[in-house]
Amino acid sequence: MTLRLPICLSTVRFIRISLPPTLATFASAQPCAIDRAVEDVTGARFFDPNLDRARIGDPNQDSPYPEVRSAVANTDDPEMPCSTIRAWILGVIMAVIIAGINQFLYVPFTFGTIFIFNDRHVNTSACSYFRYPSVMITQIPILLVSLPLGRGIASILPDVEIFGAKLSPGPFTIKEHVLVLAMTIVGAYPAYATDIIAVQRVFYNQQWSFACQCLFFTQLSWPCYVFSRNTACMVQY
Amino acid sequence: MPLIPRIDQWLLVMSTQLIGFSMGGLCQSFLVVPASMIWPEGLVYCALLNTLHTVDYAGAGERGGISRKRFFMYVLIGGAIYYLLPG
Repeated sequence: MTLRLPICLSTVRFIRISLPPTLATFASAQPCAIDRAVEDVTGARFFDPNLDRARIGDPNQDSPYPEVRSAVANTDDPEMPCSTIRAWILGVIMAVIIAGINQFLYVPFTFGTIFIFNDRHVNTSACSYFRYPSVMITQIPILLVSLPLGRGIASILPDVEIFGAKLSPGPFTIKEHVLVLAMTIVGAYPAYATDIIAVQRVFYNQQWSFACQCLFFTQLSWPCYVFSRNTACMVQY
Repeated sequence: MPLIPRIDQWLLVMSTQLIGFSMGGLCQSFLVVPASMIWPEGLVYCALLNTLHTVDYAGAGERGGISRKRFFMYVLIGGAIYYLLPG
């Protein structure tokens, strides 16, 4: 059983290359009896960090095939830090930046450009969905960008405690990564209400005030949050 | 007055949506709860996050091989170079 560290990333200096403590405990704690069950099926004995050792043989809970298990772990490490301060800092910053970039790319023309449409001079800053192909930062680039940022912020932050919570508890974990992803992706896509403002501005030559547009956006968003919270017990859990 | 009455339109929309929800609820014990079931949208992210964080071994048993991170980096670099070609 050999554990080989990722060599491809080790050239980048600020990325912390170290095995998470959970993997070390997994590797050292368990005898080979269960790995023999893996060997019976696959023909090879090797270390598998996603193996649910308590439930092997139960096809509803754990698959004996490493190809299936390699996609997702159905074991949980409750001591792995998840909701840490650095994850929230990175998540909030990335949510603001990615949402701003996507909203900016959604309205691609320069503000104040005038063009003639239907014998009328209209402002093209609202002609967003006339652009094809459109550019947008989607989920996989967010996932890939947030990993070096997270590892960087994990290596930069000092090892101090703030309000009883550690500022930098060990290396950047998968749970923190998923938390950052969730916070970023939720706000990453521009609101559809932008289309209403755009259509009003281009085709009907109407323009509301800024406060009215803000109230319009929020009154379209908040009922959705309320409905999703009210139906959370039925359609989410 | 629309051609189809309002109540019929509303019932059509609600019934099609709720049939989907109820089929999902009926199949929940087969399709949602088992840990072996990973839905195709989530499978991509699960596999990528596992590659980046959890799975660090290379090869199987006595057989060697490259790790998943290294394979991912090869594909990423190759894809970036291929994307420079005019498509």
